[in-house]
Amino acid sequence: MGSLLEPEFLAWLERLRVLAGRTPTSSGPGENRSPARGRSAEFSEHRDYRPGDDFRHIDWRAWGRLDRLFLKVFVEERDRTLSILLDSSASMGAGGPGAPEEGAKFDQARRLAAALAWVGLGDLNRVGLGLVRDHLVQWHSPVRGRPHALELFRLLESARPEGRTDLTTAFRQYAARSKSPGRVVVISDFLQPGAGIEALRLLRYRGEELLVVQVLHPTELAPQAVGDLRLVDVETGSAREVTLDARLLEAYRKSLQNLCDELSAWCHTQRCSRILVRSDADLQPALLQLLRRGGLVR
Amino acid sequence: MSLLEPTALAWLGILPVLVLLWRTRLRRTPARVSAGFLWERACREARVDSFSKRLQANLLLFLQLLAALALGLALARPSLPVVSGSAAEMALLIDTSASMGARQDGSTRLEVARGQARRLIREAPSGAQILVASCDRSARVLLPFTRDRSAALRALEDLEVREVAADGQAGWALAASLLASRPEVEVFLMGDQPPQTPPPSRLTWIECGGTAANVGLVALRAARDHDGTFPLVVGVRNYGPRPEQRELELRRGGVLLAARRVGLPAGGRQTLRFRLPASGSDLVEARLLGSDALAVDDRAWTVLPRRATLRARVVGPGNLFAERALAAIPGLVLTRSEHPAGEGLAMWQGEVPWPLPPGVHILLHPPAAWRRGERLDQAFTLQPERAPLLNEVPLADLGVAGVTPLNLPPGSEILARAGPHPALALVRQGPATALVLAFDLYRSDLPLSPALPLLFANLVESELGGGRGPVDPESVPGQPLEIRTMEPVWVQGPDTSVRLASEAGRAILPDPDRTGVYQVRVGEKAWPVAMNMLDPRESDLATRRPAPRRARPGPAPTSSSQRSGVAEFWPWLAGAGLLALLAEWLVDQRRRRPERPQDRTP
Repeated sequence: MGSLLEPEFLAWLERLRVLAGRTPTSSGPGENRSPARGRSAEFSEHRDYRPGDDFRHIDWRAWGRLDRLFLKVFVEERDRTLSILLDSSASMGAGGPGAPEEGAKFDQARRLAAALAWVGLGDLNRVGLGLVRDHLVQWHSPVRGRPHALELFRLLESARPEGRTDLTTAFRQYAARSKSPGRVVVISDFLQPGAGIEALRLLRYRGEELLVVQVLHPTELAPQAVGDLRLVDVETGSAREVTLDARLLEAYRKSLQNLCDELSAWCHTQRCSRILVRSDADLQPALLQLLRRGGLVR
Repeated sequence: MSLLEPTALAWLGILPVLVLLWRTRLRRTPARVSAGFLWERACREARVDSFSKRLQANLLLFLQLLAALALGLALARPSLPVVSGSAAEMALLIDTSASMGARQDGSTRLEVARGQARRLIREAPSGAQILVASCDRSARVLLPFTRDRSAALRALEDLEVREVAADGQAGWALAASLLASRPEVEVFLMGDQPPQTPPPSRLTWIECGGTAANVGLVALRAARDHDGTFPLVVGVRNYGPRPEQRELELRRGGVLLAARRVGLPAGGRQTLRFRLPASGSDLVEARLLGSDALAVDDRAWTVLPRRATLRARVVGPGNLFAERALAAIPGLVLTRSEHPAGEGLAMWQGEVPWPLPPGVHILLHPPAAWRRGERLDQAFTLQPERAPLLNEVPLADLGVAGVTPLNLPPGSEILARAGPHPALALVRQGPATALVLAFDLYRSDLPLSPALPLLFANLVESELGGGRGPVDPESVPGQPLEIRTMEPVWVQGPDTSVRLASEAGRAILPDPDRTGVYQVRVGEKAWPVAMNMLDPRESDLATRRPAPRRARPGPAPTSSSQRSGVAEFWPWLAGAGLLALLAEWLVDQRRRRPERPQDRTP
């Protein structure tokens, strides 16, 4: 993992100013403004007093002048929480037929996750990291400050792509573990029926602000293998004998395009950002695009 | 088609090896993929399970098998016999007998022969002289040697199948005479019955038509029983290689009498017997329903034998013994008449008018014009000659006396002699035929023996047809139809209607060539004649092998006289094999190097 985050790369990350989100939420107070009203030094507005309100916030001066009870409302300041959910199922370790190397896709994904965590922690955000397969394999509660980066990196380093994918179950478990909604970055290949939209919808209903990062291997985008092959699904183990020719490859590309279009369309309707990253792409431009598209850089 | 190197077919053993290797090759390379469901979806969309897809998948194997098959067959050198005409003189003899009307694959054998002849004419060198002739029962030159090709082609178009049996010698004789008289002529004999003797070098036999299934009638016979009914026999034969079932219909005067299903094994024959009632039409038709290659032998007709009615006139005082002998002939009615002329038989006792009136006569006294002297009192023993009229007539050792020496006219046939003198003679003079008895019947042993009625019966049978009419009720196509009459005759056949003049007591329809019923009308009376084509040589449509050509010593024929040979088409097969190999290579290359997809990022 150390080799993935070279000093030059980390220096470049330092130059970025990461915002944890336009509407950050956090269970604890922080240094970022929040739309939630609460206790802070910054006055926001008055409103009529309603039974049950805290007497301490009644504006007694206004009562003296107007003979009406008004309540003073302040802007509450909370920490911004960035949750990174990395798909570590077996499909993330594989590619298309004829992929020259295995694991390239997962490496790229965890480099992205590490970079995001590094940037998030550097901006005094709280950063949580979860590994998901058919359940939430591991969850590192949100932490703040660069000193905690090593814990997250170790977690990423120990991760191996294996097992089947069930994002819905995994995200449900994440929702149970996460205290309040915030910004969630989901890094996956989304190569499953329905493109994992059901699972994303679960997060969206919970009020999470989503950033969808789809990582695909070049051989998944444009398979190079031809001839008679026995295709084995790395997750289910099911096999199918096919003769790869131009017609079948075109049909595959069309199916993949449909899947990606489905995911992209859902993200668009939900006003979420969706970024496709090739596993062989240069990480710096990809991360910059990710931060910009996700509004994480100012 | 034949194979010049049949052992090379062993190379086709490579075909199963190819299939085996292909199956071995189809152990597919496993490839791990991240999204099996996407490939499943793509396969469904591309319909890789469809037949065409499977075929495409096996296209390489198919092309490899095709190439191996074509090359293996090419090594075996398949060939077809071809005939080409390049002679300066060319004689085309085409069989037009009934079997050439057999229909196979939509065309008759005659049409096949016509096509071959057309090809020969087209390929003949310019200036070649062409003769067109047909042969069946006899050979006929339709177009003498000519350089006019269009005339030759027209002559070919005029050829028609005649429902007559072939006489293999007819065409053969014409060919032989042409070969003998013209040293440069090349004769092409086209037909379905090959010559049974080896053809000479300048005669080429071209077979038209192969083996075909056929069921035909082979016999239709009726007789008259003592109670007036008619036992009738129908013979049916299957000439084909497979068992056949056919329906047989029997009609009398057009009215259906019986219908039977006839089951015939391959090459088998069945005889069916019927008994027809006494009353009804004389004309009976047997018909095989359904169709086969040859239709002409599916119908046959017969005329039921009529009761013979023959009138015999006794002119003059008569003779008791002769009258008794005539009266013994069944169906003969004896009358007395002084009129010298009339139909039927006339028996003269006493002087005879000279010249003899037309007809058949029995002269108990020789005419004065033939006498050479007075009667002899001397007794003689009859010495019979070998003559058809004396068939079964016991004349030997019979004694006669009162013999009159005769000076018979030329052409007379002496049937028996009494010493040196003719005692019994058959004299033909123009339309008259006379049986002359040159001895005194009262002074002979003839009345004491059955010889006299038998002699008269033979005369009536041979000269008057036994009283059945002027024409035989059954005949075969191609044989002249002879009608015994003094009067003009109308003959109406299936496709002919002709008036024939009588000459020397006979009218002849020279060449009837259609089967069916011919009506022969003489005066007010009409006699039907059944013309049947019941010849197994025509009905049997199996291929017969020609006699092999004898190798002739001498110089090899030059290229200009090389008329027949084989066309090898192994180069075409080899070319097809190489093309298949090329296609296989292209398909393989195309599969190895598919179009590089554009880097479309979803």
